[in-house]
Amino acid sequence: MALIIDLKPGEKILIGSSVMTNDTQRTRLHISGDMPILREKDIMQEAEATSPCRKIYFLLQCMYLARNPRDYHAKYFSLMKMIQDAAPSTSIFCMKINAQLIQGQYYKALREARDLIAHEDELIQTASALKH
Amino acid sequence: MSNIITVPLQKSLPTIRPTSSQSEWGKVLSDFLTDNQNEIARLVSAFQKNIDILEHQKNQTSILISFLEECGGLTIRAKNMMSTPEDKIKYQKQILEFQDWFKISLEKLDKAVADSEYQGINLMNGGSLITALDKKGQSKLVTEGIALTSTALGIRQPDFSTIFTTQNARIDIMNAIDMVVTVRNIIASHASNLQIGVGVAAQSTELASHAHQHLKNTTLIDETKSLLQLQMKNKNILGDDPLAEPAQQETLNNFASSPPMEDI
Repeated sequence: MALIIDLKPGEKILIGSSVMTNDTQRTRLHISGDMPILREKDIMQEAEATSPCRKIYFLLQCMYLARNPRDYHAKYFSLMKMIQDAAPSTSIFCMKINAQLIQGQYYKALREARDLIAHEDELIQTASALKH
Repeated sequence: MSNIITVPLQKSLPTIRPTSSQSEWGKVLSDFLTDNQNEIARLVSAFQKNIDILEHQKNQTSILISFLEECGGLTIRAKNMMSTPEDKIKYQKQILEFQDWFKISLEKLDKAVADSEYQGINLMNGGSLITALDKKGQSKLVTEGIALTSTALGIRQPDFSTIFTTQNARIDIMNAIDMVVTVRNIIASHASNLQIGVGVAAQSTELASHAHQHLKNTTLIDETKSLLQLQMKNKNILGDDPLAEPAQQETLNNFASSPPMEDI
């Protein structure tokens, strides 16, 4: 089944290792195949991985783009353990991300990682609110 | 107050309530981890069974390829003995022997295809192997086999009477080898995907077991404090090297630097 993606004018999309940039009109793409596909809003640069859970997202993104995702497993699991040790409640999200990785569903794993980031953000915001 | 109920956590575990006691809270999280660990264990067991089948079938493709290579070698040897009309007469007996050996190798190929069944699966004969990737079976990996008998591969009966017909036999064999190699690559790739899954599953289960020990004693204050500490050393959390490998970094750099529309 083809994936349907609507692109805004000027929006970029990564397909495999190629970058496509939309022209000045809205465009609908029908894409089939197994290449990794990431929209502009989904892409995180390493400089943007400013928290432990954002680093997890970044590593998952690299796994998705890599020919051999195993290259990232050591870093990923090591960081995941640190995060879980610090905040055991994150283990729920770790489990959900890993369930997707087991299936080879890297894009879905990235979606789960967004929940992990939101959880991390909320924990830290709550702590700041309590301080004040 | 001490329970950790964030919006994403509530979404993931709808049964959890801000009013839940510490023990209720710990139990819901712990049950979630246990259920998932059990689910992973079931998946891994199915994965391992299918990896075993795929490895066996991959080995079978190698056997088929060796028979086809044998046939290919015979076409070359026959062709070399036909370089002049005199040679063709001189080596007629050997050329006919090569033709017979070619037929015997094809028979061995067909027998190997028929004998390739393992645990009820024969991908060499057009069978398929389905690996469920989740408990509902909604996500699955289907390894489709192709019939690889000499007839299905389109190999004609050998005719080594002329260079032209011998060359035709060689072309048939080369096409057949391409087909079997493609099947082998598909099988190898699927086996590798499942092996990655097993590796992730093992580490994931280890992480979950570790988490179990800490869940009961965790509080919002403790978690945020530790998370903030981790964030403080964020920059060098995994050492000084960049997180991305060069190939992925290059892809991300290309994405970042691809020109805005007005520059095109």
